[in-house]
Amino acid sequence: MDDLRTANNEKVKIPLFIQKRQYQLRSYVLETIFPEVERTRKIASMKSNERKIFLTKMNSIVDECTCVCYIFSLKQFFREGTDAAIKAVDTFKEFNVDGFNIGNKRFEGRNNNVMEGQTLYEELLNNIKNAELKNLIERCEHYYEITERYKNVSI
Amino acid sequence: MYLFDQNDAKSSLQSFFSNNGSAINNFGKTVNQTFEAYVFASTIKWYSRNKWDIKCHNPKYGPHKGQFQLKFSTRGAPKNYTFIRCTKGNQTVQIRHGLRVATKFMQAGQKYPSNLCLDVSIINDNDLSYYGTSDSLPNDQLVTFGEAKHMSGFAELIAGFIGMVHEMKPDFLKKKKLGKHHPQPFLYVSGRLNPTAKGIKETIEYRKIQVDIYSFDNKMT
Repeated sequence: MDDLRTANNEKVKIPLFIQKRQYQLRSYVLETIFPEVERTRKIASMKSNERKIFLTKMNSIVDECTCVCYIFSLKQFFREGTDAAIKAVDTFKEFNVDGFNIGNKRFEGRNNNVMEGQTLYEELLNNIKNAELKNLIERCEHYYEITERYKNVSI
Repeated sequence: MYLFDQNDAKSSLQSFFSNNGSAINNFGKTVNQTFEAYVFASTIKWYSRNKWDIKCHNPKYGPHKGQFQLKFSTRGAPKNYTFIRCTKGNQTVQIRHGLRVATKFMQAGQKYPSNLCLDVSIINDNDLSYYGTSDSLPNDQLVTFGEAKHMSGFAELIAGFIGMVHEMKPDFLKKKKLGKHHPQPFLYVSGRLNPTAKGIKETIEYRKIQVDIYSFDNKMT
C-alpha cells in the first residue's frame, strides 16, 4: 500500500500485515479509472499547461478513490475473517467438534474470537464520519463499484 | 475533493488504527489460520456430501491428547494432530492438515529433500504415527490436495498454484479425466477473483486441466 497521509502530512500507521495485502492498490485504481493506453494518448495530445492540470486532477482523483478502496478492502478483510471463522466452527459442529484452537485462542460458537472481524468492521464504520462514504462502504461488494463512481467524475 | 473529503477519510482511518491497534494485530495473527480451518472444514463437508462416512481422529499422545487440534505450523509430527478418516464402500482416505508430502519428482538419495507442506491433503489410509516433523509422505500416497489463501485471487497466485500441482500431482494437468471420486486439486481464496485471475481461470477451463479455484463467490460446498 502506498503511504496514506493525513492533511498534516502525518503518515497513517497501518499494521504491516495489512499493508502487504494492499500492495499496488493505487496502481489498480489508476489503471481502472485511467487505463494506460487512453491516458498516454490523452496526455500526448495536450499542451504543457493542460497536461499539468490534467495530471494534478488525475492524481487527486486516484488518491481519493484509493483511499475509499482501501477502507473497502479493510471491510472485506475483517468480514471475510469472521465469515471463515463462523463457517469453520459451524461445519466442525456438524461433525460433533465444538471448536478449534489457534495457539491459545479458542474459536467456538460465536465467541469474541469468532466475531473479532465483525467487531473490527463495526468499529471501522463507527470511525467514518461522512454518512455518504459510510453508506458506500456498507453497500459495495466489489472494488469496481467504487472505481465506477470515480470514472464518472469529470476531469 | 471529488466525492468525499479525503483528509476526513484518512483521519478516520488514523483514529481507527490508533484505537484498535492491538485488536487488529490480534485478529491479523490468526486470520490466515482461521481461513485454513474453514477450508479444512469445507473439505470434510465435501466428502460428507458425497456420502462418505466421516470419523474424526484426535491425537492419542502428546500435548493435545484427545483434543481436536489442527496443524497450523509446518513443524510438528502428524501424530500430534487431528485427522479425518473418510470411508465409502471399500475405499478409505484421510484428510490431513499441514502434512508434509514429497513432490512427484523427488528421487532417493537426493542431497536435499523435495517436499511441500500442504494446507489440506487427502491421502490413502496410512499409519503416520511414526512420522517425525521432517518426514514426508511418499507422493504416490497423495490422492489430492488444496491450498488456502486469505486474500483476493490474482493471476500470479493462480499460476503459482498450477506450478504446485505440477510438482505434486502433474497428472491432474493432463486432459485425461481422473474421475470425480475426490476433489480436484484446488486453490481456495477468501476474496473474489480479480479480472486477471478470472482470465487464467478461463484458460484452465478451455485447457480442461483438472484444477479448481474456489473463492468468496464460488464456494467448494
